[in-house]
Amino acid sequence: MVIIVAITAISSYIIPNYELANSVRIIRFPLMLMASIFGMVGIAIGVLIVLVHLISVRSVGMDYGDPLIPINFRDWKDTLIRAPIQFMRKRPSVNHPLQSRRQGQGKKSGVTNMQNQATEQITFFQFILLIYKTQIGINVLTLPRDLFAEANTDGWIVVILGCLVSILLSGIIIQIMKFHPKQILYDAMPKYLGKWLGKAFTFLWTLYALLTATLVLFTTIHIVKVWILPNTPFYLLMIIFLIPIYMVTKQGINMLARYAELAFLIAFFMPYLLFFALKNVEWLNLLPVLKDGWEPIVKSIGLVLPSFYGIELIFIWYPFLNQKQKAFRGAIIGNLLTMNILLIITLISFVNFSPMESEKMIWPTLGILKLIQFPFMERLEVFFLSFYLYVLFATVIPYLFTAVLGIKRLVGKMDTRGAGWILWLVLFGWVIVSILYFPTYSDLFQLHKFWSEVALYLIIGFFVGYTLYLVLFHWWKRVSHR
Amino acid sequence: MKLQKESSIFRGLEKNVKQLSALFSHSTDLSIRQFQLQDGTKVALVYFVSLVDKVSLKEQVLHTLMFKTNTAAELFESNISVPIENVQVIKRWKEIEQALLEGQSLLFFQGWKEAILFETKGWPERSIQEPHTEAALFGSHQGFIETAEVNIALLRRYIPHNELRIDRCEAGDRAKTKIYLSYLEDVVNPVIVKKIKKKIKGIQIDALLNTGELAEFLEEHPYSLLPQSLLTERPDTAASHIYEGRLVIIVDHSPSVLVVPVTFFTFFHHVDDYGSRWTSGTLIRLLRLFALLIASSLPALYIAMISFHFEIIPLDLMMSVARSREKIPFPPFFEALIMEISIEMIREAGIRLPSPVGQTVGVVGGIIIGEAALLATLW
Repeated sequence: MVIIVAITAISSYIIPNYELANSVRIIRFPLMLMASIFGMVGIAIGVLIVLVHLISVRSVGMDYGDPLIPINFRDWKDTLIRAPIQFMRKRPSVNHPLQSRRQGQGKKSGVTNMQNQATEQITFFQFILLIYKTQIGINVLTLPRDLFAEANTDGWIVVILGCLVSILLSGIIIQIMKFHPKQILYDAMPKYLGKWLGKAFTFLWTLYALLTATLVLFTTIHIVKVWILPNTPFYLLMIIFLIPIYMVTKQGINMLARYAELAFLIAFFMPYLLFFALKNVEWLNLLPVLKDGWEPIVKSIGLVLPSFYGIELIFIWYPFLNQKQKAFRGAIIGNLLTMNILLIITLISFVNFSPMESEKMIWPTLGILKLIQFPFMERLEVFFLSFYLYVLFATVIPYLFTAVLGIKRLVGKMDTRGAGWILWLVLFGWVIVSILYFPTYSDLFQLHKFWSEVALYLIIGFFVGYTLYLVLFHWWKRVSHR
Repeated sequence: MKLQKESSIFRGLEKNVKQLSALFSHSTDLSIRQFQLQDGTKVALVYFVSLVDKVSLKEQVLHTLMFKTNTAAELFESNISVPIENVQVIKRWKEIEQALLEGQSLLFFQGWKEAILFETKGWPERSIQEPHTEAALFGSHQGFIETAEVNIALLRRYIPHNELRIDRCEAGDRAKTKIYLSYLEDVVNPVIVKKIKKKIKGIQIDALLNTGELAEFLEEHPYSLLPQSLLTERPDTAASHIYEGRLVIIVDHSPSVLVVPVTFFTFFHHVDDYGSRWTSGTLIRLLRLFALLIASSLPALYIAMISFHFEIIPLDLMMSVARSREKIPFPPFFEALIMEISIEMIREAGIRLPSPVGQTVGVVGGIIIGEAALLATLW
């Protein structure tokens, strides 16, 4: 303990700014308290609260977290690192300088539009990450088992096919959104479907989003309880998880996008940790390819699709995207990123576990982590899972936001802010449920099954049907005009 | 007699003198030196003894007035030929009050409704030293001091360019504090300047004594833990921020200037990063970031591991930790809390104490108490 405190004290003097060093000192104490109540999860949540606050602060209207969040790779060379001076030709763009070149007196680049910052807009890159981070959620943890059960070790082919289907679906959704590029689906539906039918579908989507958010959140808490904190009450975990979720959701779409960036930066190395598990593996497990033919593969596409859900929320994000012509490209990149992760996970778990093991594992991905040991750390999954919460929240938050917007439409509010009594109501509801009821694994499993069926019908059925309807609608309008 | 500050001064000298001493509540350091010009016009030179430079007052102002000036009219006609940097003709009581408090001296004449202001500012000033909290290995060893004019001069030495603009604002209801905004006009985004000026105008406070107070008024999230503006005492740091398109705010009588807007990572930069080779600069920056992680969360990690996840660390390490902890009577959180608080107390005591005593505190706090606590197995 003496060593720990001494190192801490020295470290706080390395921070060159006195004020910041003081802030760090103050942050240390709540973190210690969180750690003593919730262990590693407490630290992860405490750090997350600080980070979420950090990325939402502005200094005289300029982003405080820049260039890390919003991600701005050009300015990284004078942030975390100090690049050679001849590379730093431009001033940091966060201040929106009139002349961005440093050398001499150049042309004025004109006032960059700072007004845009305040309005609700997301960039192309943020759009990609929103899709990617919403897709990566709880399914990642169970996918190898489900795939193995249906398609045996050819599951990785299913992942590729599923990605293609998902890209196709996102193309359809983007086509729909092009009919009303400035309005989210909720606002556009009444125009085409009539007031009541529009409201009915809004209700359906709201229910779906709420169900998804609830499912992911409850599963998250369940996993944390099983793997890390078996003795901590369910509702306490719920309450501390809801703090960062509330902080992000109340600030609307901009913050959602930033949070996706944050989750991306913190978690991008995580799937690659799994490569450490490639020690005593049986590559022959993968052979022969297509051992049962194509039939089980095509059948199990439905199993892999839930891992790609998240694309349906494009109907909320698309109106805020600032480069709409690139939307489809963004959706493709997002889906491919997700596919990349899913492939890594399925392949590694197939070569690591024998067929017998693969079927029995409840959380195969965490099982792989259990195999990895470093000289300084055993049980990597405690550490991993605590910080994987950031990624899981990145799935909960967009669905929660979608649900809140939906409820707002139903009660007749048309704004796109997250904050308000509706958000409080949802969060409060979750807390109450978590106090009264503790879901077991089989409950969650049933709920998950129900959810994936509902989602399949809702996403494919609704979007295909709605597209046909819209095409007919516009065709009919043109005809009747003549 | 209540005075209208907008009204101008009187014709009679006696009345003015009486008015002046009433205005400054008969302060003893207000000096009113009455004498006659060559033609016999009665005049009075008024100044604050504590705020004027006595040498220039004696050699330039008094000498010229007593021996070289014949009439008051001559003085006004010759554009006030007194060998001193700045002279002005002023009339209003408000201006007079302000000028005297700034350390100017004023000459009143019998029979004239105007007074002459002589620039004779001069007050005790610290010499330019290296700032204590921001020492640099390769950077300059100059630091800002408590006089805004000197600080502006230091800044201009780093930015000899016509686009460097210095704007003057004021804040404080009772005592006006001078605030200077300096920026490169063709670089900085005008929206930032506008926002800052608006905020400074809205400040309501008796007097601004410190740049830190100003920072609190300018911040958008005053309740946040994170500092949203950078305080620095280094002119080279300030200049580099101006070159990057930021705004530097100089507050009179405070040695630190304020840099806005900042990002979180601004606080990890130091002039030495640029002065040394880029490889070592990069290494040091990464080290600082790592230090941030350690400083904020290492005790928390320790607590988490001891009380929840002892299976994370390898067995050998765990055994040695357990052995060191077996006699400690507190739960890990209290153990850490006691240690952290005592170390913070020693640190805080060390800052305020004069250096000879500070060493004693270090020895007593660090060695004696630490040793005793270890022996008693308190931690």
